[in-house]
Amino acid sequence: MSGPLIMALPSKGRLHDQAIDFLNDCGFGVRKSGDGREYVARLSGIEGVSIIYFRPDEIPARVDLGDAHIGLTGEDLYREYGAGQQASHLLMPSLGFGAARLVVGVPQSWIDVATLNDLDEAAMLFHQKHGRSLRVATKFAKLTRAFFAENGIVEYTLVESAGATEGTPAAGVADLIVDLTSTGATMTQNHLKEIDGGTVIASHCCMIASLKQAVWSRETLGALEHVVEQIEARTRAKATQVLRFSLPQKASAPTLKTLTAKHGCKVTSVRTESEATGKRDYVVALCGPAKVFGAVHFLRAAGAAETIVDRSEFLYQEGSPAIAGFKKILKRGGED
Amino acid sequence: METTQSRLSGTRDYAGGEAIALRQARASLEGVFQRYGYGLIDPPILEHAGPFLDRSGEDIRRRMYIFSDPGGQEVCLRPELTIPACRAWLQGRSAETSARLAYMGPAFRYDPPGDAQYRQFYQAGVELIGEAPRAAADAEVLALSLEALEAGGVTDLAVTIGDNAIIEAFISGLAVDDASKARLRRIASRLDAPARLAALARARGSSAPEHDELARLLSSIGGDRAETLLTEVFALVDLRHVGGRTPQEIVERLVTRTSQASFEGISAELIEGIAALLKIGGAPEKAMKTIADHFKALGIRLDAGILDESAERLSLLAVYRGRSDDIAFHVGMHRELGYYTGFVFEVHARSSRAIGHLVGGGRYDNLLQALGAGTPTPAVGFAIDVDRVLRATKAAEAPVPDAILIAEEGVRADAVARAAAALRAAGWNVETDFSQASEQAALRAAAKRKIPFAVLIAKEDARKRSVRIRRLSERVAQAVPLSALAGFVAETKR
Repeated sequence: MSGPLIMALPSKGRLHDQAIDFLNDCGFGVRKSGDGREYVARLSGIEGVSIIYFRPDEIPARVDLGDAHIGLTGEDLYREYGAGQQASHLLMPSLGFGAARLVVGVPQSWIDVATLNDLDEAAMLFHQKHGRSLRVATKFAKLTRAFFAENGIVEYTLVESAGATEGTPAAGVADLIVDLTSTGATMTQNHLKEIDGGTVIASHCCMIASLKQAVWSRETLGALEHVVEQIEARTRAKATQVLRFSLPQKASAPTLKTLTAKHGCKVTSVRTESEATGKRDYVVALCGPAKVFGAVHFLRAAGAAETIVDRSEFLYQEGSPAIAGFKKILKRGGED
Repeated sequence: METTQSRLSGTRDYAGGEAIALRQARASLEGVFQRYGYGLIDPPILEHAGPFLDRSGEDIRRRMYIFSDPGGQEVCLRPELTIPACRAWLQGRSAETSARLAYMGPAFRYDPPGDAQYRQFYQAGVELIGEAPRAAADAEVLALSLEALEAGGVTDLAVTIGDNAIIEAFISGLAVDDASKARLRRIASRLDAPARLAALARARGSSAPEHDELARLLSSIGGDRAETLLTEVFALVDLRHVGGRTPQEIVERLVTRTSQASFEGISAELIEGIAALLKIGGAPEKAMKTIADHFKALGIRLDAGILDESAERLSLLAVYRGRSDDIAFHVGMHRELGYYTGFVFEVHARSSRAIGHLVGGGRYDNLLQALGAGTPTPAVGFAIDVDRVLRATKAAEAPVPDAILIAEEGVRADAVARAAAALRAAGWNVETDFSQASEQAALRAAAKRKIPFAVLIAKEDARKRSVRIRRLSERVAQAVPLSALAGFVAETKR
């Protein structure tokens, strides 16, 4: 198939805003869809990529089917609504925004239930007593089933909820819920609480890629590589600070060795210049933000007159392992 | 490769020799079932999920295929055939109170990706339903399963027998309250019982759980007043009670949880005693003695009837089979179905244990009543995993036709069809070669498949209504008129 790389983005809500901000921050130039009624868009910062908007929970299926090559959506939604590893690949597991936790919420009045083990036992006793199972309301049936199975909880029936899941116990149609939460405020308002070990998945916005071979071409794979490498370079740049300093050349070699080994810095270039006071090495090094202060202290003691710390816009390094891995999986026709 | 064109993982395609082997295995199993007087019952694959959810136990429940059909009804693919067979019998019976049922068919259980289990597998089994001398019924069913396996081609059997009644006797003999017993029973019935018991022994009396004081208070005032108190506390802190559990249930569990957490009245020694009991195994006679000693050492009374029944079962089995050296007894033998009440067993092939058990079965005296039998209706049965039996036996050779019919280019299709029909009418299995390869290539391919005869037709033969037949192992062909084929074929079969 020729034509652009099609990227599916959430059409509305918090994920829509965050995804657009993220892509713009990465330098792709996406216009916000003003009234939410636009369904396609182009990017100004890159050639050969177009945008298509879908509901966040619809994106996994669209990518599975190949309607879009790649998509940005919550990992929770990918795992719930995607057809799995044969149909699409989790290319970038976390893009660093859109955090969401899917958790088990039980009534606050269940003061005898604080852990998953308690829930297991309460569920069994409930079944023995009432001849029916506890009802669990959720929009995430697949993830809930897998989570409960993994934890040996079996006495329950799922009640699929279309609307506000957290209100179902108060409405009398469910006994507990599995739902997304951020602060827990909504849970509390609805007389529910979390329990120990009750996090089904802690997810972020991720990038998924279709494994439908027919939709991929050399051009679209090229565009994908561009998109992913640029995002990685931007992400890397944000997590890295650039140190510029100079040292007397005779002390330079052991100092840079310690800087690498003890302070986690990576020296990218050294330039030697002769000055009136003797030869000096001008050095550029990369450092994680948390380690900058320690490194600067150390350099000062080693004779660095001043150390300039700044950030780069993008930091490109070796080619993307994510892309290399994806190409291999695509060739094989799916993951094992 | 498109996903839609590949087999679902956990399923298998039967073709060629395997398809034949599957059919033969079914036929030989059915033969043995009939010899013991068991009649076929064939329930549907789709069933209500409820009975399985209620009765099958954790291991099955978490692996069931349950879905809503387009009409909105929740249905399941049966994960086993005992419950469907019993349900079907109950629904179809008039006044009978006993039956010998045999069944065969596919069953479905999900396995997490990576497990080597089949998600669709073929089960064949029997159920002996109704009042009967217990040891005799158990022995008949076990003997039948072993004979069926041998008929299916597995000869190196390794039988493991267990008896839930022994674990039950131990737990009910403990000097603890009923709630603690119920909890111990639940733990002992689980696949990970040893780990759970060890955790329980460790946690005994250690950190008090949340709301411990409240629980103590509630248990000291007891009953309705405790419930009222809790409800008032909820109101006081503006805690709205939601969901279907009643305050009474919460009080009950809060109270029992606390007493269980400390497990007053049961020592760590006794908890470890359950774990040790579950581990006892070996040659049956020796195991029985170890079990009796274990009960005595921990001061728990063991009804002699339980061990006597085991001994009788084993001696009857020896009469059926003429041997008993391939049988082991293991107290903690875990059956994945939750409805077993006493005697349980599994059979492996000694040379291919990795395949897993070929047969699992046992006694389930409460299931039929739970399914609506009305009166106590004990039962015992087993299920053979036919796919595993086939993996444990040598694969059959794919059958080949007696002859391949090869026509020269230009021979009319009706002449070929006429010859094929005549050969088949004469009693041969005949394959017509449509490959359009040269005669030499067709003959080579046939020889490779070990097809005994080649039947050749040239235009000349077609005109004469005759064919040339040659043994592929020989060079000479013999001309045979179509009218004389019956005699020729009869001659080759002698």
